[in-house]
Amino acid sequence: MRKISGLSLLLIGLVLVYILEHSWKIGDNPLPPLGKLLNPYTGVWQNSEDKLTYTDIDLNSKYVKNEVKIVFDDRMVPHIYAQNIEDALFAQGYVEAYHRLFQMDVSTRSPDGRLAEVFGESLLEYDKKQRRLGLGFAADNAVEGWKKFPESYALVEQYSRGVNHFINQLKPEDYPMEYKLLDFAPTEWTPRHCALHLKAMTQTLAGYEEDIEMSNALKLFGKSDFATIYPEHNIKDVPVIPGPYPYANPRLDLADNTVANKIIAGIERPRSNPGVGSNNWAVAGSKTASGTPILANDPHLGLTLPSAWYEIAITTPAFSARGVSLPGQPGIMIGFNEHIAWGETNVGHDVMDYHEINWLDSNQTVYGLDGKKMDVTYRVETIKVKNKRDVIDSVRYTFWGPVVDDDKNLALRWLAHDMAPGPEIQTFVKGMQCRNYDEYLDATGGFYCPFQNFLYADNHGEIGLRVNGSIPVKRAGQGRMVSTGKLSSDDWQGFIPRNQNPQIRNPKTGFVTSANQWSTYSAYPYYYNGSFEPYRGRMTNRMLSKMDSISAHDMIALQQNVYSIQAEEALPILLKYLDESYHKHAFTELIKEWDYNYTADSKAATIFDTWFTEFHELLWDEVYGVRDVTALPEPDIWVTISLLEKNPTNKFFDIASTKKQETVLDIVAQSFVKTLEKLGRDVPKWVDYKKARIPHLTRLPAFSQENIQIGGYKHSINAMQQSFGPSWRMVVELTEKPTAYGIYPGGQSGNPASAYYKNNIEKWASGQYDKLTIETKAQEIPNPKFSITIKQ
Amino acid sequence: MKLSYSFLIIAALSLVLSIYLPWWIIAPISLAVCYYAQLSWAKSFLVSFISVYLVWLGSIYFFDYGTIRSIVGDLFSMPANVTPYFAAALGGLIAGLFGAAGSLLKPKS
Repeated sequence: MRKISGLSLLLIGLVLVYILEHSWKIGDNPLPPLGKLLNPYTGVWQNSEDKLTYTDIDLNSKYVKNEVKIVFDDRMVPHIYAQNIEDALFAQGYVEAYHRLFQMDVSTRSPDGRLAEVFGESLLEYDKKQRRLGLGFAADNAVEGWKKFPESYALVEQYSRGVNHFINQLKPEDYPMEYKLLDFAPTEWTPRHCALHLKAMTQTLAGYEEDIEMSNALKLFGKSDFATIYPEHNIKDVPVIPGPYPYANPRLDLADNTVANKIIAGIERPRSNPGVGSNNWAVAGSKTASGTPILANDPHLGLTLPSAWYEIAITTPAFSARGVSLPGQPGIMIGFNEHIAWGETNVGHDVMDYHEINWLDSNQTVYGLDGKKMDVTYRVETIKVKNKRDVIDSVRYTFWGPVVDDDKNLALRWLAHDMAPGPEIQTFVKGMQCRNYDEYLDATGGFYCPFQNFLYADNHGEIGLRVNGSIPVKRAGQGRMVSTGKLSSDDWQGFIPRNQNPQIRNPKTGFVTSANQWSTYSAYPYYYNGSFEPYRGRMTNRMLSKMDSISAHDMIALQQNVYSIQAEEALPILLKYLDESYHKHAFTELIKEWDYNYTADSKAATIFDTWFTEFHELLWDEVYGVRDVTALPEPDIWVTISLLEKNPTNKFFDIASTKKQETVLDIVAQSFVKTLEKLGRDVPKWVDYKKARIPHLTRLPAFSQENIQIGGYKHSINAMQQSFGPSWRMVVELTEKPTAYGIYPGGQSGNPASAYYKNNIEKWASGQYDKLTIETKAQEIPNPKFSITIKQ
Repeated sequence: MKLSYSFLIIAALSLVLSIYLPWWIIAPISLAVCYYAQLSWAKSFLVSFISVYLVWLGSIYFFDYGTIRSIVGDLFSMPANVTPYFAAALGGLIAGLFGAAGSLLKPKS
């Protein structure tokens, strides 16, 4: 009896140990391996960090030639001191892994379709989609391309070795907390991971297309109405490069029969990132108080914890630079050195085109092109799924690219798949070492995709901007819709020579600025299409053209600007058409006095934002009414305003589903009533309505930040939406020794238990900045926290 | 073996071996010590439970500067200050089960 009881208890104990050693799923909720997670010796308790007890670290690696010193300052920013660039990049890889390993891991798993391996079956569909888009294929091609430039490839290898040096010394108890929760281990980092990281950014920044939606809209509405609902250019736009464009190129026309003339079924479409965007501007010395140029940049991304950006400073005998990097990429993306400053915004051209595949056999392995038979090739994707069997997907590749969706028979031509012909990966490593604009243009000339507005300023007084990347030459209208894919000549017609990319240098106006608006006026001799922001560019141009004796603090204030040109244009007209009976309403009183600023505590902003959205959707009921059946693009808001201004009797003001003939007056009144109903008596302040938050990469509430007190909206310079917004703000005055300020919403450490995890969010939200200085000597860093020394 | 010796041996071995071996080393330790200790199964359970519970609790307070508590609390929807006791009780429970099993498996002499 004793023995049976003993054996039973032993069995229960063993089962319990097994349960606590493995991860489980209860309903939809994952349960981590509690024993591994909560024991004091290898569990999460080991991830505790006391900000007073950082100790110096000594490392040895055969991959460094000379001693490297890394000093972490009082905000945990690493300042790397190396004797050569190779050693410096080893150190960069090391410190980025030291602070952001999980982020680097997940952000490269996402494009590669390897999330289900660690998160489980719930992400299998996501992985499949990513693999169908060919991002892993793209990364393979990128690495092949990099290898053709051994000197710059060596730089990525050095960076990777630094990452691996950190990974290899980790014991399970040292793994970042997320690994313990998800129960997996870090794996080796390779240059392909850097490529995957670049492709993830490419998907975010150059992943725009609405080919199916536009094709459907053309078929549904016909040419004339399509032109009314979806015009390309707003006459009020101020493009990035105002011209002139002294390049001769005959415009290439698109034949009508190359556009798929039918409705393509299915409303499940990947959403491009509506909040991705950025501002940058540089002002010449003629417009500044100090007489030297000032450069400002604030890239807008989906905000996450840890932040996309990582502050870093790198010094070698050849240069001393500082700014932010994207953990996973060598070099400094946005920053400054002792001579120059640089920054980027997204360009937004459409480089993602769908082509119909004309199958010739029932197995769909042979298709017609140029009247000839063509065979598909296969790329076999093996997707690992946590606690489940592998899933295999054989993706067919055509002349155009991968067949993304079997049902739709569409193949994707995407610039992201191409092998860059130039030394792409050196862009930000060489860029941070430049001393003048010619050097900078040369260093960044190999940059391929995603296109960025590369902004520049220096302490010799130069400012400039180049729309940078390999821009395909398109026929007019090409790539806006699905192509019939019958002729290979419907592919892009080569690339615009880099010296004919839109660009500007030292303009008479004394400033250059970009904010994701159109790159040029339509006089530019090459056609392009894309997703362009209608208001921020107009606002930066408006402000900068009237500013003088500018200081760095004026630029900081401009980055906080929450003024809405959209409201300035639309609200007076809406009020004009609003029935007299509503004019005494408290809502109307509030918005009549509004100054069009989306400040955090503004109630008028909440009312206008709701009212305009209701009005817009009611006006375009012809579109919004069928979007649950047919995929259609959303009309641009500037088109709505333009219609209000110039064409208030347009037939689209009628609501199609009613017998009555509605007019603009009806739509204005109805949308106003809807706004009243939606907001109720107690109108929330804009900040409470918007509910700004920054989620952790895993979306775990415990690691995220809620209720951030910040104003701004999508179309103001301070473009803070709910979770998209200024992911880094920087202002650099190019004085003898640069005077710079910067901040991002997060902290240097990726460890949720660190005091440096989200220490800067509140400061960022309130519009404050940290001063950024370049210290050329390690011993000059004030209040260092600790240091790492790497020797051979 | 006396109660107090068993307690001390389990505690000492758990503390030292956990540094090098997986967390579940507390199971064989409790099993083996209680097999030889000749205590009743109930006493074996208690002595293993309390011993590992205290070692784990102490260790958690030693390693955690305070931030982990609140994170674990958020993750498992429990008050932050309860989490170290919860974690220690998990360890204690495993040790207790194996301790009691060890006592029962020893043939009575």
